[in-house]
Amino acid sequence: MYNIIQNEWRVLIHNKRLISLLCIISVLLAVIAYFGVQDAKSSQDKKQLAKEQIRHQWENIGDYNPHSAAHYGTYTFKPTTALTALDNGINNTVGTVLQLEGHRQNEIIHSPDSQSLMQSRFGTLKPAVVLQFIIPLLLIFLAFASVSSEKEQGRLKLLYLQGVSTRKLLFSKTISYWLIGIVLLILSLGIQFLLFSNNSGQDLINRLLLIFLFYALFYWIVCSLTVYLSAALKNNTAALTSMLALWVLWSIFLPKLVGAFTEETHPLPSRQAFSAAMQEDRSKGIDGHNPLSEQEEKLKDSILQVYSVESVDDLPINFDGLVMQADEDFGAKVWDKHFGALDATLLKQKKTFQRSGLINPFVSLQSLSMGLAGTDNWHHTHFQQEAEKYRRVFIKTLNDHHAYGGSKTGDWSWTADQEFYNSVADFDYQTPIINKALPVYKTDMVFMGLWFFGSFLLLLIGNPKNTHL
Amino acid sequence: MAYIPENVSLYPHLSGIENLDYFCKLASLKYEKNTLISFLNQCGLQEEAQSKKVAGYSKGMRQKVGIAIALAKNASVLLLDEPASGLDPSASSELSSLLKKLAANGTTILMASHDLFRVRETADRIGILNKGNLVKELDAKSVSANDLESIYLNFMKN
Repeated sequence: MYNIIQNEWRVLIHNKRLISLLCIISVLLAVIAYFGVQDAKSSQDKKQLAKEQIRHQWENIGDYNPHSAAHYGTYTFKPTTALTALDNGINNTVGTVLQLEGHRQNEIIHSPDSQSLMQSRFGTLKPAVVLQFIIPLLLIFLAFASVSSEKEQGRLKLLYLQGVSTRKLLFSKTISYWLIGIVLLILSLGIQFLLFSNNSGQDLINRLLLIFLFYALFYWIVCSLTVYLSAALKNNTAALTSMLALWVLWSIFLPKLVGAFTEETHPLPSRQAFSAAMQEDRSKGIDGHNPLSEQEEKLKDSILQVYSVESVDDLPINFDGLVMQADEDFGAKVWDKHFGALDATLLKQKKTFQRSGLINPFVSLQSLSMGLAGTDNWHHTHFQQEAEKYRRVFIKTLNDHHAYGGSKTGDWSWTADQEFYNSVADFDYQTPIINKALPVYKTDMVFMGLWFFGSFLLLLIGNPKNTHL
Repeated sequence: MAYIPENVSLYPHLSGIENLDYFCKLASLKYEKNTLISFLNQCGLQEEAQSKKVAGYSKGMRQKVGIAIALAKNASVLLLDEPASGLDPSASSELSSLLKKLAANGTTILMASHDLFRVRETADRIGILNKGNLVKELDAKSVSANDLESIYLNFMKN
């Protein structure tokens, strides 16, 4: 087997067109990986700097009213890692910066797609694009004639006479092209990882290894199918055409089709409708700045009862702080309800998409690649929820201080001291470890495994026409 | 057993030695380069051609590599399918002396051919096939090329 592989490469080296193609793609991959990492590093530095600056401002806020501080708020950032530089998934669309403030849950601001036409039209060229689209195409070009040329040029008889079996031939040919894909994969992931060695935690390594594994499986599927078709179809051209058709079907046509289908079966509300519905629910509750609402009266009565006083002015605490916190609590409920429904729909969409992996392993690859890189929808939702959890604690701390810090109701000029602000913990978002995220990608992994197994079996027991003498 | 098809197809981008080396390895035979060269020499492939790409070989030269592959396999039986078709007279003559040499070393050779003159020169025994049936068996020494032709034509007429 080793001999056939070696010979396949030796023959390949003499094919100047393919070798130059291979070189171009390797250089392309290296350049993209390099600039991707540089870009990610600068973004990481910027985020770090911004984070430090924001914290610095916070720690130098001085004597300040807690509610004003709540309006002042803070910012939080989705982390940039070697993996986000590899596959930035939906990050360009959804952005990576979130402003956390009182009264409201912000959506992510300043997504790259919303700021550059170039960006939104063509996306960014990340290594994942090359690894998912270009390399499979290259493998098809390399392998489509692998068996049919042996047949057409009449070497098959001689190969059989020298003791090569059909199975051995198919496997050797597949492996020789698959290994080329693996080399390019290692090149790309290697550059990514080495340039980014400063943040290599164990989880990052685990994710990287899994990314390697699933790309490797996908390349195997592509190579083995191409080799098999090369052995089964009438001629080179038929094998090339069918594999190209399959490539278009897998990478472009089916994802679009399934995408349209999921939007049809699990429709998302329009942004307008979503905001309006949330606004409406929100208006039924306490508005922190509008003291005349019914719910506020109830809250007031119960508090007056607890403290056994006649009016809010006699309260030893600042009633405004309580009102604002009650408003926050209500707002949180509204957010949970609406975003919960939204996330549930998104999850359903994702599941439908994942199921199409049964006929399209490309979809599984894409889902796994984004998921393992931590840049898919699931990770985004996780970030959003963690940030919201922090926001709630953050604002509650400020509101509680406003209420119990020593000021009286109606006193908006009261200030808390720096020591208090310093005691408010900073938020450092941690991407969940991969073991926690894996169940989300079970469907993808199972289908990818099935496809791999199927393509392996095809070579093992298949009896394609061209291998007959 | 080894088989030489009418047209020996090799890897055109590889040299004669590389082709021989590869096909030997497929049969799990590992030879030193010198041994490979000596196989090719035995088959009469000029040394300066051995390390050149097969793409530039003539049909006769490729056939020699084909026979070298058979030789390297140490095959005791050699099947040749129309080996002389398309060879120039000198290549054809070389082929027949090479086959004689192999036969003298104990290799059994079965060769299918339409070149009756060459057959008469090379073979020990001659069989005439008509529509897949062996219709006549002759001792090569007992007939002249002309006789052979008339016997052959006689069978084909019926």
